[in-house]
Amino acid sequence: MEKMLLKRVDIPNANDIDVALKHGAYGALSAAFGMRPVDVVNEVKRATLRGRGGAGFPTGLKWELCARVPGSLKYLLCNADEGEPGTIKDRFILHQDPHLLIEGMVISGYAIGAERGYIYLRYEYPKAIGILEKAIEQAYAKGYLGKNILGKGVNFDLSVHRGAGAYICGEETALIESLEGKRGQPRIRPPFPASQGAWRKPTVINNVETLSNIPFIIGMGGDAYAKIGAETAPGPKIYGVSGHVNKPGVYELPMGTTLREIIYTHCGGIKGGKKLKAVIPGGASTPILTESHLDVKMDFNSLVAAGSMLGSGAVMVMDETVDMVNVAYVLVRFFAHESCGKCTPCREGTAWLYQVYTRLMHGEGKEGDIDLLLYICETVKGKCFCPLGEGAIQPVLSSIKHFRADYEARIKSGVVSH
Amino acid sequence: MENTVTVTIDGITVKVKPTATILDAAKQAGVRIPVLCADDKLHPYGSCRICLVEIEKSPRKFTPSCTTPVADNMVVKTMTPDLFEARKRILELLLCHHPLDCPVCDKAGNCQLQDLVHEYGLGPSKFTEKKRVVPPNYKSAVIDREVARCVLCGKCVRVCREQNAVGELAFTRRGKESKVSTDFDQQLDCEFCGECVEICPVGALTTKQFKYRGRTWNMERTQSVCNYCGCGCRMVYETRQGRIVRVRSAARNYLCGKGRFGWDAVHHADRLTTPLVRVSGELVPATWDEALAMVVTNLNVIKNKRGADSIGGLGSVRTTNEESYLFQKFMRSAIGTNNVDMLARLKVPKGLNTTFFSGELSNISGHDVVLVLDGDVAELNPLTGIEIVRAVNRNYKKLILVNSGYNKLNRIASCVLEYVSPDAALADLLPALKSGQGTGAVADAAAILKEATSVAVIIPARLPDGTYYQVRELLSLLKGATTYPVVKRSNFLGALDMGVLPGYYPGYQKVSPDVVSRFASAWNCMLPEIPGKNALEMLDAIKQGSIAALYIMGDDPAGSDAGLKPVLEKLEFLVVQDIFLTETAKMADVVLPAVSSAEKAGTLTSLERRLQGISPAEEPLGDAQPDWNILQTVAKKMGSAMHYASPSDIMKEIRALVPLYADLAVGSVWPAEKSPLHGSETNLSLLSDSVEKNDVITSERLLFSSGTTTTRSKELTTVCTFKVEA
Repeated sequence: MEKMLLKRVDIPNANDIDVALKHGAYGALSAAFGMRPVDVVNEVKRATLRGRGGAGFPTGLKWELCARVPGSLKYLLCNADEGEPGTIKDRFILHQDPHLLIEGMVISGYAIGAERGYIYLRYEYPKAIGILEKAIEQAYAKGYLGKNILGKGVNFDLSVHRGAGAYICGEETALIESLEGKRGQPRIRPPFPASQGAWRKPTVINNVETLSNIPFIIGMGGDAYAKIGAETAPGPKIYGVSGHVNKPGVYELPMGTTLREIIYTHCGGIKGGKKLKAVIPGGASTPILTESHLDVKMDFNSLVAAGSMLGSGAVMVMDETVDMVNVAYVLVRFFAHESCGKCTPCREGTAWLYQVYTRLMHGEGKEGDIDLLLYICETVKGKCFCPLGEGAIQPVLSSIKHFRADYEARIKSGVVSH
Repeated sequence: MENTVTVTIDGITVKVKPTATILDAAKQAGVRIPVLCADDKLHPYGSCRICLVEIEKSPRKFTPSCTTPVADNMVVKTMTPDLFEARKRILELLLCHHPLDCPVCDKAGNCQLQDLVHEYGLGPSKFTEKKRVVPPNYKSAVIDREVARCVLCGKCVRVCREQNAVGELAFTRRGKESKVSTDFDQQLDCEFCGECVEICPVGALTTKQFKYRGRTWNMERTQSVCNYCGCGCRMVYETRQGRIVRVRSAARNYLCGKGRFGWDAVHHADRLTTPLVRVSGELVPATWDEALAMVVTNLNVIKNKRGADSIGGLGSVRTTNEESYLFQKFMRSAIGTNNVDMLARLKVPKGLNTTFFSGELSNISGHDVVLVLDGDVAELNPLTGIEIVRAVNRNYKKLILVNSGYNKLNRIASCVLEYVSPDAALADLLPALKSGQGTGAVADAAAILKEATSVAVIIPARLPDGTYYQVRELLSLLKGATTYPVVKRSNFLGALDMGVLPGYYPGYQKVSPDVVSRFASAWNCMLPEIPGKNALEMLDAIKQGSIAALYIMGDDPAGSDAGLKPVLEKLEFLVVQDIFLTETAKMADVVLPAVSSAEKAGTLTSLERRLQGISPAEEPLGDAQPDWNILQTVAKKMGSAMHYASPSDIMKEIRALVPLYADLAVGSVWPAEKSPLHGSETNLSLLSDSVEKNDVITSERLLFSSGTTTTRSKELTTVCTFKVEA
């Protein structure tokens, strides 16, 4: 497949507007402005684009819900809080091709009737902030942002808001709270952001990669776009592969490429010719898979059928030398650290899990610890305020399910690891 | 009911508003769902996860009932074996790091966590890891924070921000490190209302005042009413072995710092326990017989020698209606003069209870717009302030604030008019309303007011003549305006109603031949027919020597204005009834010890004109007696027939003689239109452009200050000089 989203990423200085323009940036704007906003929404619906942030919500539907709410003041927020461990896809667009994102946001804003946009950038991307701010300044200077864009009477203002370093702010309602200057904690839904989001106004929140797809959908038409990749969730998908592979990196492939193809064809197989032990297919909160799952298609529905989730498409590959207790420990530590503390099960449950894992790591595992871990997961399950707590138990449940022997060995031997 | 949805909760079908939550619907169905973080005072939050329920055909196994709106034909189960287990697990999580120090926790017996753990029968926990140790924080005045006991329900954080607009408490850190804290963990610097302590479901917030003073199940409770400002908040005295140990709000109403913590003044060492008489220049203890003989003899001598009108009486804003009634009756019938008044009339707005009758405070939040002409309202009448905040934070109404400084209302105002006084603000606002002149905030305010169909106008405590007419013009320009005057002192309205006025008998019945003869026959005595001197005229008369004796019940003129000391020194004879040896009492010839409002029964009338009953929580201190009984004893000794066994006997007489109170039930408000002075130009305030009475300048914050009594509250004196806001 010819690269779309990452087309300009390899071009030197493509984050400069002049270079980007030479390579087709902002080409879809005038086509979009030639359509009625409702037709832009319909085009995206025809493309059956699903959100790339992890939940896979149909983007066109999200837009339609917001566009339908009466009122002139609406917001478009770009979720650039790429915090899911293992995920590196958005960073490439933010660093190398910010104009693709800006173009996508201007079109989205036009479609939903929002004249104000914010890019909520994760704190840990310090380099991106300068690049984005420069890109926005250039886009203003060239008239792709601001008042009366392309002389078509479309207004769109855009600025960057830097987060304060919390995983939870990738959750859309916590992101809104944080943007409003409040503590990063998820909000009660309903009301959903589409009707009452930022500052209680209708708001659409899309992931960087989702918004970056928009210019192509407008450019090639929704029907043509829908023919790319998996039928249930078409389009290109950026997979970020890390771990024990020969060529880790970011790969743009059609949605639904198999795990085997990603690891063995594109990433050159497992390092040192070792055997594959485990794969996390979509970031830290997606259940761990094993070698037996290698032929799963990497799209939303196929992965759910396989007992996991596409998440952000961050593939983490582990070879046979890896002790899965260590892996679960690291992930649980992350979630316990990032739990916002609002709801009881997530706050207390992740902390308890972390205490048990810390014991295991110190060689102080006890008979019955596996049952205890499953008990805690059961305690947390289905009761949390937001998906963080539900995600936090996935590494525990799936690692015990597939690699119980690792736990038993750890408890028996009492090995201390760091 | 129009626009409802049908919901079935545990087999009980109810029709509810579509905006209701499942928890609301369950309440309506009479089904109890256990909660920790939900509270009627607050927006839903959904953090504790105790209130989970099961919804038929829902993709989710469990649904939180406090945050989930109902849907038509929803079928909800609030108790299943799975739900029981789920709640039990949540409780197990909450107990992981919760210290099990119930035996020394002030909340024990009244703790929602303790009750739930008992209800769900938790046994030994599977949690055997190390417990977190979080030290308590005892840095603050009045309130202690036992951080380890906190279940992070956020109620204190939310009540402080949503209800009080103070926002002193907030969450800091995250995950297991989350805690409720102040800015940089400094000591509390807030209104010290104690609402956070009241709303805390566990023992994480406690008061220093109540610490180790008693167990909740050992307490006796007495319903009463706060006697500090005019709001008349209902409250409960909690006593142990006949001594008050705690005051709480009644039925989860609001109480401010004065109401909740200021009661300790009644235990102050300065309380008078025995009558005092002046012997060779010194006040010395005496028996009631000695003291009363001295009062009666001196009053009789002066009355016979110089006439009844050479005696004056100053009443109180703190005494009950019955006592105020008896005070004017005593002055009129036993002494025989209409010289009866209150100096507190210097501290109320012109037009109070003639032009500006207060609406019911609970209606403030229903208006489209609240226009606050007195920036200090939340300090002077805290409940009014709370209702204003409720209008904004709960009902999303607009607030227009006239304030040159900065306080909590600024934080929630839609529009702030930065003027030093209401008259300057109105000078610009009125033209803007009439002809659209004006710019900036004034234009914004005018636009908001023009759109509104109902406006609550908060009338300032000080209202000079000019401003009075401006406000009247303003009211004529607004649609659906209701006034809410600020009334600083608790029973000021009751004392007015009871005729502690030189020109009016109780119920604003003007001193006239008809009225006088009616009261004369009811009281079976001769009554003076000419109106008496008002408080200011009495002071002048003292200076000129035409008033020789003064009978003061529960007021301290010399304490609130040192300039009055030389005036009072001119008196031949001064009687003071009070609970403390005030500056004025120190000058008296006879001091009669009265009891505080915690030791007597009776009624008070709030600024809403609501009649409310107070009840004694303690026995009178020492030889002190209720003011009504002192008055009737003196009257009897002067030859008047007064035979009241209790305040309710006096209320019977009031109901018979005062039409406003004839069938006014306790708890209700008398209708403004029924007042004979309704809409008249009579001015019940003594304040005018020619008489400028300035408050004593103190370093005390208005919120914690209410004159003589608050200065003797240990708790309030620890916080009274805390700054307002920069």
